[in-house]
Amino acid sequence: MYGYMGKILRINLSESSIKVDDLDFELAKKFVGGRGLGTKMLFDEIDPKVDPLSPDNKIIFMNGPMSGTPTPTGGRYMVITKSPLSGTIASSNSGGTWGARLKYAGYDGIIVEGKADKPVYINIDEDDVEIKDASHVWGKLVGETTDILQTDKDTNVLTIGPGGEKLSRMAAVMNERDRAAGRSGVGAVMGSKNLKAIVVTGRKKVSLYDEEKTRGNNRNATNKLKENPVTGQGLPTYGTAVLVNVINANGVLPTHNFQKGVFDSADDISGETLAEKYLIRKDPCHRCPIACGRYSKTDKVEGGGPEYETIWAFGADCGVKDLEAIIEANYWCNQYGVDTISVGATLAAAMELKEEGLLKDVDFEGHELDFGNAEAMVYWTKKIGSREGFGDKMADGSLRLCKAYGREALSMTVKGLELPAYDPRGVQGHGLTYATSNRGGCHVRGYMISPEILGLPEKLDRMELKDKPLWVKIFQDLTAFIDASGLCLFTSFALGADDYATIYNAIVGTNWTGEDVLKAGERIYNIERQFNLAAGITPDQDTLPERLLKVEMPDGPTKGHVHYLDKLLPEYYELRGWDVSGIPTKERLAELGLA
Amino acid sequence: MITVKLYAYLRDNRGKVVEVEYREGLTIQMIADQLSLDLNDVSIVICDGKDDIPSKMKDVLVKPDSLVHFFPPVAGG
Repeated sequence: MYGYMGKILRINLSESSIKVDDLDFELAKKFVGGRGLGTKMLFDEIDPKVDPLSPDNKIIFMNGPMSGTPTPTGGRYMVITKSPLSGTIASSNSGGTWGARLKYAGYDGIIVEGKADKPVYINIDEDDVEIKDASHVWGKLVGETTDILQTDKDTNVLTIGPGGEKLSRMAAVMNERDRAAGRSGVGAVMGSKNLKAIVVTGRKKVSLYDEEKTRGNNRNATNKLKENPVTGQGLPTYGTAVLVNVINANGVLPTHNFQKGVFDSADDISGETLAEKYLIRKDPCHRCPIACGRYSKTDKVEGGGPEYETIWAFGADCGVKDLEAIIEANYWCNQYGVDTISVGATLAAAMELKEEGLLKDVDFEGHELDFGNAEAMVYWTKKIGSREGFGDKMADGSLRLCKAYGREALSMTVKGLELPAYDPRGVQGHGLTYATSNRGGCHVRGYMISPEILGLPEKLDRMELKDKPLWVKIFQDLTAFIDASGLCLFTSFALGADDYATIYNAIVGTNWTGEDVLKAGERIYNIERQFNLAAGITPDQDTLPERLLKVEMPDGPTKGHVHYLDKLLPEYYELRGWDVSGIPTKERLAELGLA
Repeated sequence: MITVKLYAYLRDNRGKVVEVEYREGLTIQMIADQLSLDLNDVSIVICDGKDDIPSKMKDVLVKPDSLVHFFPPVAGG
């Protein structure tokens, strides 16, 4: 078996039992790894209708075959579980080194079951695996927990913060302090199991089918990444925040909880300003030649980030133009272990609720949640992390908050997950990916911003509807493969399906083509869909917030437009081989080996 | 006057915002030339809300009060 370590750790916290399962190699090849293999295992092992925060839910940490190999960016892993935020499949991706380290310890993945009767952490030192008392780190922030549990240079720490312990449905799983499997509330599932951390030490190597070919493939991929102006210059120099200005100039930077598409102070919070004033150094993930990660410092805090989405969520969406405050909010999210996108978007929803006069009963403790109030934005970010005061009400996300005040329409979510930093009224294909993403409002399930705004791999008219469903399907399928492989999605700015097939073949010993890569991605997309349907997530949830479908954009280059989902969705279903009501047909499932 | 906004490393030696005097027949290509900006280094041009790649935008005629953005290849997510 090449590319895979051949072992899955199975840890039952209710029984305090530790077992090692052999990896089914045929199953692994069919679902690749990471997001694909993890979803297949979860679907086989839990009732999709389970309460996500009950002991019957499981949480799976899964690598791909390229994780831990010398392939550029090969260090990403996925956290797969049923989401406590959306009730959908959750598969949350993180970089850093922890995923690769798990391979070096000898495991492709970990399945955690049950619930410990007191706080514990899992310590893995290759074959020596223990469930240990975590009472000394329970309640501590992510940074301090990491410092305490980090014992060796070949050790990496994955942990939750107080957000996960207190079951915030926006809680993240953090590794190496600042890396986050941020979305869908996966950290709360760890918290619900009384599982604080997973500490991994390992020095093994991943066996490769053809080492010489892999070396050549790595050279080629690295050269392509370095020669590509985006992955070789734009991202390394400015990080993801370089997007702020181009998204704003197109009038699709959601502002004041998606009430507008242009933020007048965008340049104040841009990647250019970040690089000029606060950037200390780049902070790359394992084996990454792109190095888009940032490490920033203000007078108050220093740490990893902030990323583009974070800057948008705490910035334009909250009407805040103070980049120092945004960096501080990012820092506290990482420390408390909560998702920056969902937290920022929930604050923005609260600001609009207040604007409408619906929060008159709330004690703001002198920190009024008004659009543009940077100080209050930071204050309430911390209170969400610690679940104190009004922060407790906000800690379960914008949908539950807005429902509590009778204004569900102000929650800018799809399937309960807060939308990220692009207003779909001005990027029609991207809006379709939001509506059809299996984990809800997400930008990294098919990043149509790439062709619709950035001109990669070619420029599409962002308002055009023709052919967009096909583009979306291809992007979603390719992304599913990349997420399953253990590579970073950003490699797709420079590499295509054929490149991934070549890399995969040399590592695993297969004979795949680019078409096979897309087919595997399609299989993954469909098994996620099957999980959601079994969980009771009905196709009528393939939609967008009413504001985006019915209220015309009031300003900027996208003025006068809504998102035209009804014109895109039927063709998308047809291309997917789903029936008119959005259910996968038996024929398509059989073609994909899922019937 | 025409307002020209530059981003990322296109700002080097040019600044964030440049004003260009309008004249009849002025195109995007002519503005780029005036700023010593090689359109091969530009990924996206936005002129008065219309966005496209430089080869599709270079011959667009600007208006006396146009707003033009030049972006180098950037991405993120």
